[in-house]
Amino acid sequence: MSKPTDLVQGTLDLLILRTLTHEPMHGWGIAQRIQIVSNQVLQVRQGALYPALHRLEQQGWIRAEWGDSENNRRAKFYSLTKAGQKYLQREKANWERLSSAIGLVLDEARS
Amino acid sequence: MRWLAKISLRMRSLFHRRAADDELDAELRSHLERQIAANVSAGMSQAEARRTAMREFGGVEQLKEECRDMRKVNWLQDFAQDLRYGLRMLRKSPAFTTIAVLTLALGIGANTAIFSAVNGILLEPYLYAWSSRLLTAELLSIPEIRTIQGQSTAFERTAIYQRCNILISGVSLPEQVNSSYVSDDFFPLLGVKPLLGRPILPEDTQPGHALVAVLSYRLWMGELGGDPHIIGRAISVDHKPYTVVGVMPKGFDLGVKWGEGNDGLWMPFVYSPLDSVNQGPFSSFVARLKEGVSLSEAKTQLKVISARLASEHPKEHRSLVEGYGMIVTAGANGQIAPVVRIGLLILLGAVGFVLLMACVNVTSLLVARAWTRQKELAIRRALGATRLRIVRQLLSETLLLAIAGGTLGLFFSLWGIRLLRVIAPPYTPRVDHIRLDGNVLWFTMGLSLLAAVLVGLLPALHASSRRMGGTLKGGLVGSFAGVGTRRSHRVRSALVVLEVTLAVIVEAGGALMARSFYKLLRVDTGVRADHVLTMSVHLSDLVCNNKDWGAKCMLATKNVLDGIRSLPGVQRAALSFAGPLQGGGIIQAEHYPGEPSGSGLYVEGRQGNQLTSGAISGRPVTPGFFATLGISILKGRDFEPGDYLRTSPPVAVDSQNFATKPGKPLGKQPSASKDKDKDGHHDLKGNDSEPGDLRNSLLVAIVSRGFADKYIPGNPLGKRFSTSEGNDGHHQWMEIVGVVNDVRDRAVKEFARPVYYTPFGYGNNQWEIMVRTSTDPMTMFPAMERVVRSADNDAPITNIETVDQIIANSAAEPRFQTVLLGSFGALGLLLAVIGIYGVVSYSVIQRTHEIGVRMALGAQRGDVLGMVIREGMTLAGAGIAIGIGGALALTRFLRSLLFEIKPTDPATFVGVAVLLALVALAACYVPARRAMRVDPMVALRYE
Repeated sequence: MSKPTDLVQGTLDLLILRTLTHEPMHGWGIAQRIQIVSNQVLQVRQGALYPALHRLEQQGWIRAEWGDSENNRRAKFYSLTKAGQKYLQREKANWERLSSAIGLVLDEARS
Repeated sequence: MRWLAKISLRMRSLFHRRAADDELDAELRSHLERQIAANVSAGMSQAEARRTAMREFGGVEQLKEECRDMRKVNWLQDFAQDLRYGLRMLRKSPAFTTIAVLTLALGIGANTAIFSAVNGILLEPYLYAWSSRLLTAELLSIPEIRTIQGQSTAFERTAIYQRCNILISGVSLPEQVNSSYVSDDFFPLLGVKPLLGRPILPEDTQPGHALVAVLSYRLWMGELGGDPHIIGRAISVDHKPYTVVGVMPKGFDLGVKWGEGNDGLWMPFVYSPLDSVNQGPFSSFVARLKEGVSLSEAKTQLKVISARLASEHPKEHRSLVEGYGMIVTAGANGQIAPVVRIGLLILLGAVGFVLLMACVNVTSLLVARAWTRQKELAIRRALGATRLRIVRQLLSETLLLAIAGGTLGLFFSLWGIRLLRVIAPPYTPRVDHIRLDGNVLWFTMGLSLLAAVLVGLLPALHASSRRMGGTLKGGLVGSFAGVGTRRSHRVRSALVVLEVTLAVIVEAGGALMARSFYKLLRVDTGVRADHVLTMSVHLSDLVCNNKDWGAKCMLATKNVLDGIRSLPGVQRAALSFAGPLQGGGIIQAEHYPGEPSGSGLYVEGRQGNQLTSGAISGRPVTPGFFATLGISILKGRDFEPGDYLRTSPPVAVDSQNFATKPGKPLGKQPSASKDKDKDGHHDLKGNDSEPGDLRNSLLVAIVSRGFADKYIPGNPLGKRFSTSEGNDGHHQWMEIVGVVNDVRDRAVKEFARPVYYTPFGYGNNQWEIMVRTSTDPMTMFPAMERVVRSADNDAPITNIETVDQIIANSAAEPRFQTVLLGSFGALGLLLAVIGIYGVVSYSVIQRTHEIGVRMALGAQRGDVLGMVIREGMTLAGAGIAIGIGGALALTRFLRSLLFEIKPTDPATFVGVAVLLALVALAACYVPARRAMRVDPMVALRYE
């Protein structure tokens, strides 16, 4: 099921899944939340966000439901599935290992 | 559960595409609205907020498409769309479609039919447990088997079986069937449960135990009518009552199936003290290899043991010394002769080449079509289709073609399978297994897909290449052949070369087989085959026993011969021991290395044994034998009635069965079936075992031309020879009274062995009768049968055949292979003609303009004709050259199937080259004529 993903795509998946751990959210909300939490560093383009959401849904990590949002606007809410939670934990651990490893290499290079 | 959710999602995206799209639309719109609202609340004006949001959003359609791609159903929808489109395109050009589908169907159908034979005969698993680890070794003696059992470490388990011909009587007609005595571990080793009753158990093989038998399915269903209450019934086996204890299922036939006899039954092999005596190589064993031991390891081990036996005791193990003992076969399927296996695999290879040719033909058609579709493809490309997308689309079209071809091919193959079953040589094992089953269907499906890729990939890649697609602006036909045209011309040229190459290979195989078969048919068999019926008669024990020194037996034999001779319509009749062209006879003398005296060939007046290699055989015949079979007497005379009676008292020449080995039950005798030429071995020892009365009598013999040429140079008449030397150096001389033409032995393919004939002694209980009739000999059989019955009501009559049939049967295998390889050759030739013609005429159409220009510039019509033919023939020539090389490399696989012709026979290869050159010339000539008639004015205006 898992496909070779480049770093950027894999990272975006991770960010989306992490963002959804709190509550179900719609696409716009997810983009906003990532932007705010990352102190405006990470800007998620729609062109990347929606394909990613559809892919995650296809893979069964997230589930989509139509629901009413604030001021009665209909929106498609995404929530994390159980499988998605497990996947997130696994990927998070991977990411931490990877980033600390990269950090080590960079530090070593500097000294 | 994740997969469940996934499937429902995919289903939704697939079947509710509209809804899914609407949702996507709504989702994106709601995103946009939020963004606008956010922008407004950040202080922008409504219009500015919208513009910014839209700009950020980018191409909506592109985004949607990307989302759809993520849903992974796009390719499926595209595929469905491609198929629909492909179907439409194929419908639009019915001629192309019909030709392509028919071509593929022929190729796939022929392959399916041949594969069904390979599958049924070679691949289908056997009934036996551990069948891949089974091995049989035949033609051994019991002491040899004991030694092997003691010394070999390769086997987990072994079981002995002894083949025998037995007579079943008291059921309907007396019938002789192939049977075996088997040791108690035979059935457990093979691991097959009986259909009814029980197998042979250890207690059955104790000396003195009741006589029991396990029936084969065929015997049970045939003679015994499938009686469900057969268990416990008694049947008469060689006139002794045996109790039926079991019936084995269909397909279980080890030990009861060989040669042309019917399946019989299994009886317990009772160990007896006699078994420690070497009785000659009539026993076999089946063994299960230990796990991890390969067949070749086991075979090597057997070879080592037998070589040791042969060198230590050459006299006791003559068959091993001579190299005809111990025939080891892998698996329990010893019945599949290597020639059948090789033949089938070669047919599969040849038919594979035919399919390749079919594919090449369709490919060149597609390349030509791609050229006419340049514009369409250019438009698609301009609209943003990637190369992959175009390749996919073109491949879906060929997939449709291949599926249609495969389906039609299946129907063709049904017809082919029926044909195969009919023309398969008699006694081909498992002919009834040739059918369409799951394996064959998978094969056909795989083959169709393979064909689709083979056929489609090259044209698709070619058509989608950038240079081909660049012609949108140039219009369909450039002023001169453009880059794309030249390229497609090159591709098609390569295809013509490939086509001719394949054709040469297929043709060479077919031609070699045909020439070999022609030679086989024209072989001088030495007999006049028409209007002769032969049959074997086995007089029963009631008539032939040793109570009255065979007098009753002799009388019955004489009565049969006289009775048949007096039938109206019978011109001549004669008896012999072993029929013509069936092998057998009695091997009277053989050469044993290291054996100074005894058996051999001695010629009066010459020193020592003249037989330095091989064997000679003797065949007792009655007077009239040569005339009946039309064997010409070259010198001297035929036997006369007095020859036998004058020279020996009736008791002297006795059959192998009763006088020499009294006390041993007849049925127990693991009798050599006569059609196996090696086991004619229980020598007609009469001549030397009872020398007393013969010492001073005159024996006469007639020798074959080969015999005379080889051993008795000069005028052989009146010369004397013997086949054994007594201890005192005494010889029982036989005087040569005649020389007859050589007769091919057994199979027409085999050379005549040196043979001599002796007068027939009427004491034998089994002989052949040959009858030359004035009308169709088969219609005479009932009358002859009545004559035999009146002499001995229980005598089974077997091998009822005309000599024509015997010869036809011995050529049946080559005929089968020749017919098939020949038809593949014809098919290949047809495909080559169509292929070359198609490509050349297409290139003429393409080059009409160019030809017009040439003619306008002064080229003569003859020049144009020459140019087109020259170009076509250059390609054909290249193909022929490559093909001859390929065929030279491949035809050596045919070696074992060819008769008196080398696989690299120069005449055949030259013939094939010339044939293909002529065919190519004809295929080029027609379009070249058309090119010649091009009107330059019309051609130039063609644009």
